[in-house]
Amino acid sequence: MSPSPPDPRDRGPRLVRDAALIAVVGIGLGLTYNHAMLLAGDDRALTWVAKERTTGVLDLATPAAAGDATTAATGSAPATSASGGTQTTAPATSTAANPAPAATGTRPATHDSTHAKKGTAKKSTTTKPAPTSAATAHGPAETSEGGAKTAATPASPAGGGPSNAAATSTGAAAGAAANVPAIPDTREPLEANYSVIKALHDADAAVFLDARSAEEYAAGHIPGAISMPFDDVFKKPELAKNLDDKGKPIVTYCDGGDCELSKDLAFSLIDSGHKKVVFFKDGLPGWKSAGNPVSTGSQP
Amino acid sequence: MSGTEAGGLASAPVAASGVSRIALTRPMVRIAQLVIGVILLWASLGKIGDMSEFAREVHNFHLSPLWAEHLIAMTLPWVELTAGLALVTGLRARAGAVLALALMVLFTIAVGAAWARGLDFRCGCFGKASAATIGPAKFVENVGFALLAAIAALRPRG
Repeated sequence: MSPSPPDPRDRGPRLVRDAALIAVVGIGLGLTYNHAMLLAGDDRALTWVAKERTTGVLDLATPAAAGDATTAATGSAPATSASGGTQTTAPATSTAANPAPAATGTRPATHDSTHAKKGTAKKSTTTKPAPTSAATAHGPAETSEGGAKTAATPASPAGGGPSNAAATSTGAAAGAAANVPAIPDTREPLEANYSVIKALHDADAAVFLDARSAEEYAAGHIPGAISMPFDDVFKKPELAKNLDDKGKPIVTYCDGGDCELSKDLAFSLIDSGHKKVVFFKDGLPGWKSAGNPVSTGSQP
Repeated sequence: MSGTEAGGLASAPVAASGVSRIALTRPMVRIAQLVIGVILLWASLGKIGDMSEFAREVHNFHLSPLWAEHLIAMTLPWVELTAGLALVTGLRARAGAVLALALMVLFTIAVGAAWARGLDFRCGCFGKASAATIGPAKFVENVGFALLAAIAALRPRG
């Protein structure tokens, strides 16, 4: 065998060093790129350190969680999500204007993989009333923290209380009428417990979406649920955008447990402009284990 | 090929050093470098275009500490990019291939671990460019890419 001219760069140590150099250059470029986007206030920038968010779990027993979640989630600024080392939008955060923060039922439901414009994230964690302009575009229910709290609270049969704002929201009105929890407008999908899901389903107060494949949907789904596989939405985001939610909140679910499809679909729906989106973490297994019926076939 | 030349990472990535002597000519290795380089470029650009989405995918793997997830999401695509550029342009191509091999092995382990735990989510391996979910097909795909990267890292004959 005729040996090729030895190239010192092909030697092991040199090769490893060059590979490490390439990696370091890449890391440096990535950090620089993200830093530049942060400085520019680009929404696509990531916070330097990911923080777990404690999004309120919507539960009939813990209405305050939803209320605080609304406060954290509403508002027109794209900086609703935590960012840049700023405080995360923890619904349980107690502030002067949130006298009844969620004491229970909070958990890391969503991941702070989102972003924020520099200097605006903290605003989202305060209880400053959401700008009216943002609320008018999607319903007055999010115009104030008072309204948000009311909207998030399971509506009483009497519909009493400071429900001026909530009553004008389609979702809130439906909730009040049927004694089901009104889903607050959010910029992050919220997790809903079984009790909320069951109430919404029984009152026909939400659009249910099955995020699994069409085959899995046909094998069994929550009665009335529409098949919307996340994979399809991922390929055609207009599916989420064109979804007619009939003014109702949207509930996504999949197989529960480690199934992330429902959350992914919920994020896609939020990204496409829907405002009232919750995901049912327990999914179909949780639905079935509670003794509820399941429909089969390709139709809701 | 002398024993010295055959040492180190020149043949270590693959137990097929014999194969490299027999079949892997320089054009073949170069083709492997180009293919894996293009794959890396494609994957990186898809992720860089939507880092927050990629950060969510990183989170879904539940393999890294929470505080590191954003750092991974903002740097990993760029490492792929630089490795891909090295492979495609031929500048430090073998070093790029070694890095690509390391990345592919890492990805294969991550996908395998997620699959083994029964996790069901979109891989995010190519950012927005692919909706493939975790599963056997994705695992096999990653093994294939790792083998390709290993071939690209070999010293060609002649």
